[in-house]
Amino acid sequence: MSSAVTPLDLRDVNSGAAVVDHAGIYRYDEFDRQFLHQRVAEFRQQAERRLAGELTEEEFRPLRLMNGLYLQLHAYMLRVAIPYGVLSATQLRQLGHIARVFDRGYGHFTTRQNIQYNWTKLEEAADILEALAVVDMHAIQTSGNCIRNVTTDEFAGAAADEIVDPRVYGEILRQWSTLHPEFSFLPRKFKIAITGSPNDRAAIKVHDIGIVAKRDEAGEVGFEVWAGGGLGRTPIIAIKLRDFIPESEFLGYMEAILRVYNALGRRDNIYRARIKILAQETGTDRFIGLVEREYARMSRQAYRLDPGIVAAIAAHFAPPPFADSPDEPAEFAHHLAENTAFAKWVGANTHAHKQPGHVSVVISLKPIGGIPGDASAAQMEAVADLAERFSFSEIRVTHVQNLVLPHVRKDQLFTLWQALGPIDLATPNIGMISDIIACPGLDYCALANARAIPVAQRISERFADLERQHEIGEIFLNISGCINACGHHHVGHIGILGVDKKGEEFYQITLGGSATSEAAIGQIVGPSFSYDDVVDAVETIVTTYVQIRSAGERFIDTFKRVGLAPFKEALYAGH
Amino acid sequence: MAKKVESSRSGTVVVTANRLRDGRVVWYGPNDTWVEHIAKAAILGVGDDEAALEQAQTWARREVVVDVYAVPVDTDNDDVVPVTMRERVRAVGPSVRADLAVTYI
Repeated sequence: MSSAVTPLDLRDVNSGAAVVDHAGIYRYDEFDRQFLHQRVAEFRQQAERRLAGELTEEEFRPLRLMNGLYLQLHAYMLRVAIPYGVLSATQLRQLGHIARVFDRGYGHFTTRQNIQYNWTKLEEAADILEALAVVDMHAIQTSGNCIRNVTTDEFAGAAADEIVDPRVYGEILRQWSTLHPEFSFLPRKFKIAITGSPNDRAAIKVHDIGIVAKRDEAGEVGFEVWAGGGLGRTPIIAIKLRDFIPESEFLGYMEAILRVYNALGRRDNIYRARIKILAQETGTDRFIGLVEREYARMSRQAYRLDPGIVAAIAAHFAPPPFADSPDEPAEFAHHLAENTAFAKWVGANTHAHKQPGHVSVVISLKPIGGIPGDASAAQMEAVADLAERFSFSEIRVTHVQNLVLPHVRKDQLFTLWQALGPIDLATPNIGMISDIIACPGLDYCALANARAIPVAQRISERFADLERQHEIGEIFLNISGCINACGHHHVGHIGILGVDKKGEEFYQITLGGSATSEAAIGQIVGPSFSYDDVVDAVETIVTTYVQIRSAGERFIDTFKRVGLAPFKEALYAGH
Repeated sequence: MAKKVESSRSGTVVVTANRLRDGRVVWYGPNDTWVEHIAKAAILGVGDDEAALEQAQTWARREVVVDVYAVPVDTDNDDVVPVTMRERVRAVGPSVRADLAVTYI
């Protein structure tokens, strides 16, 4: 089966009309496109040889994984890269088309800002890759021991507090790391996150490399570089390597870190193979010394990041043509005053924009009782339409498994909100207890020990009263179905880890984790809870917090003030 | 490659795999066939499981299925229930999507 979309250089899928050529999305050149189509043709041949029995599973597995194709519990799963979480409307519409035609009508947005299709057929996988290539997308480096999709702040290029647009450097990292011959067979997978704001929304300190793009006193761009962070079975907060590496030295320094890891990272034990283990076993000072020594012997000129290249890439991310708009339009103020449901949604689901009269809108993929991160084909297509109407055809995927329309005029917010409601995308719960991160868990994943999604659904239903959620305030609750921690449970204010005890699902709770600039690993509160009891345990934690908090005090701040003791007492008293 | 066979209360197992062409979960049925619903799987007792597993493996060598292994099950009346949650989920589909449940035809 071939895609319903023919190559059209980002033209509108339905009408065929040229999509407005605004900046904000990196456009592939002909070289990129030719490469992608050649890669699809290569994989098509490999899949055909596998189906014909000419390749064994042992021979084929690394080939399919290099194209993002896993074998999970129920079927093959295709993980599609969404570079730094940025999508055009055309791309999102195509993702919906793929869900409808090749899958079972939905996709799952992940904590890596990617999308996964859970019901892929091997005999159709190349057709899906071809449909992706039509809109400049692929699944390369979404698996394997290589540099994975670079993630960033979902409000990049829009946030009022942004110092440097991280998309520019995310794209530079993408181009540098894609098919990098030296780093295609690292000891283990490697994840990079970058933010351009002092308020970290990209969880950079729990990545293999975390980067804060900033400016020096002269206004020159440079980077604070962290490395050796990560979650999984050994959660570790990253080590700061440099306060400020100049822009021209950016890639050279990245190369030095990767070289040290590639040379010294362990290859004898998969559980000790990440850079965080190397950094810990080596010792902070010695690890930094190894990177600096490697960097010192590298040619500055060979790895110099040319300002002309930076400028050319930055041109792709120039601001869209914003209309002049008052910061508080009368129409917007009127609806805020007259409609409390709208006001509640604006309060929870919008983020301050650098352009007066605009905000970024977070579209919650966490309806009460819903599956976190799942979106139907119809929802994807609808959001693509809304992005074209309201946000210069741009969409972002967040690592919290929501979507963002980054550039929305305040005087159009009410109309947008009205359009989101009927498609179940207007739940006003961003940053609240039902805005849960949950990995696919044992419902889909071959690695999982316990289910994560139904626990998330039951918690969401327990706290279904949105008035109550707003009274409780900001709580990040993250759930993982195994110690690999795809659900980021270590950095949830409330973290839940599913474990297997003699074939039964149990859930270990941690408190006090954070993925922000003040990153912290959660502390285990005590013995684990059964599947039936874990929701009651969460309720007890929340009730305890509400009882002991000071006025206006967030959950994480209360935890910092009082520690585990009152929660432990409430959970286990009498046991 | 076969995985370790754990025991159920009755010591019975079924043999499972994923179908190569679409990845779908399949079960080794009577008469050297593969079926899509666990209720149609061949129930193997102690003594005949190893021979059945070996026969099922030949289908992997013929590149029809992948990842062949035995699953301990309990059988109550006509129900065939895997011992582990993982295999129960594999048998019926994601617990959170009843609309996608494996149907018995």
